[in-house]
Amino acid sequence: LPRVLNYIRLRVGDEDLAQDLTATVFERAVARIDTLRSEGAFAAWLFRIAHNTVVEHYRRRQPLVPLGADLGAPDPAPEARVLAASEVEALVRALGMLPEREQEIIRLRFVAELRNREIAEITGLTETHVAVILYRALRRLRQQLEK
Amino acid sequence: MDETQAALWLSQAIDQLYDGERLDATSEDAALLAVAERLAGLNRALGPARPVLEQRVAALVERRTEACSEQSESMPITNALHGFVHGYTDWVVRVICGIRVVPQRWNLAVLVVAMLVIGWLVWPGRATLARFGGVVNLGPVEVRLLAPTEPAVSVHQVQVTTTERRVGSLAEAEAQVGRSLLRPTWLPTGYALRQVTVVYYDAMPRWLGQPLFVDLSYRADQGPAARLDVRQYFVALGPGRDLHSLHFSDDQVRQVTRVEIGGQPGVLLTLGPVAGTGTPLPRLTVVVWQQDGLLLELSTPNLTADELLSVARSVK
Repeated sequence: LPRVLNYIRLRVGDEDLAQDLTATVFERAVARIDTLRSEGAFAAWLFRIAHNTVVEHYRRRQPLVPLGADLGAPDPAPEARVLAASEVEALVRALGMLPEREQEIIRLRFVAELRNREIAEITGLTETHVAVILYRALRRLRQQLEK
Repeated sequence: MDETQAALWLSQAIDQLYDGERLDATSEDAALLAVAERLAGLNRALGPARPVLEQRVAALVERRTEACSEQSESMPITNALHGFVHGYTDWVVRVICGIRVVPQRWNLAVLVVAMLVIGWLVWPGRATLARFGGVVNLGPVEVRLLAPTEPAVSVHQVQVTTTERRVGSLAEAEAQVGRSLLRPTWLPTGYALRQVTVVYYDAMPRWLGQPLFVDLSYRADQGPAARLDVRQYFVALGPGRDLHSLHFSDDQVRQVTRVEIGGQPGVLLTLGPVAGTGTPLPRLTVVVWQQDGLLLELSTPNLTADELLSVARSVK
């Protein structure tokens, strides 16, 4: 649950929306459990649902909220205050400077805690391609953090 | 090193970072790993879910679990709320089948096997079932054993029957199980293999694999107390789970020590009679670990812990 919630938190930048979408992900997962064919595929299967839920939400409603949009809000909710903690803020801001595909790989790798093989299943990339994007993303992120 | 090689190396290093290990890295790679390490801390820093969300998801899983139970395959299992196996009556079993299982009708069968394995894990006998809480992945199902104070999603209690077949030799047992068996290559002086028993759970569906385990009984000439039993279950804890993640607790479990056997996590348990209860359980030293896809348990009433570990580490 925390991994799914945090993945969505970083995608939508809005705590209330993240909690709602997380509940939606689990509702869909339970409803579609028959489509899960092996235990080993569980994480990739669940995060594919999470990915699609976020995409679908914004397709229907509004453009993607910029990453970190909640940061620095004048009267943040308790969760937003956690998000605004300096380390998280620095990482989220730096992450927001990366191309969307690199952001997604980072979210799947470090927040969803998926292995490259599982990320490849979700994104349709090869495992090697995922590794290369991850490498480039980390290099770019390092540069951003050093600024 | 070209970019692809560097990328693959970095991914491997990140995997190892998550496994609690570190690779030697150049300064450039070390800097990237430092960023990875900070990112890996995001989940902890982002804070928990709201209780209402946790409750909502828990309710979803609960409803699914109940549906799983109703749809379970009919088996010679008494679904009454009493009479599983002596010693487990105050435990509840929570099956996270709503999220992890396919197909649903297997749930209860896998649960039964999980309970059997867990129940038999810390002492070689049905009379004694040391209790411990933990999470076990067996096949497609995650089984959680919870203390009775924790909320139960569903309670299943079952009865099962076993068939024990004594066979003449290790080779005969291997023929029955269809694979080579593990055995100690070092034994204390005077010990020799005296009996091989293959144990089947007749009521289990075929896909679970039978027999469930094989016992190798070693004896020495010093008397009936001089014994060593090697039990190998054809079941293993699921991916990402190891024996160090389980919490063992029972009045009979006097001491739990984490050990490593051939690089694999294991536990060394000292079991003893409970003061004032008159339990007939003798003092036992037990070591449990996983090896070659099997769950292994060695127990002895008389050998020292060091001797038992030496035997365990010689198993091949």
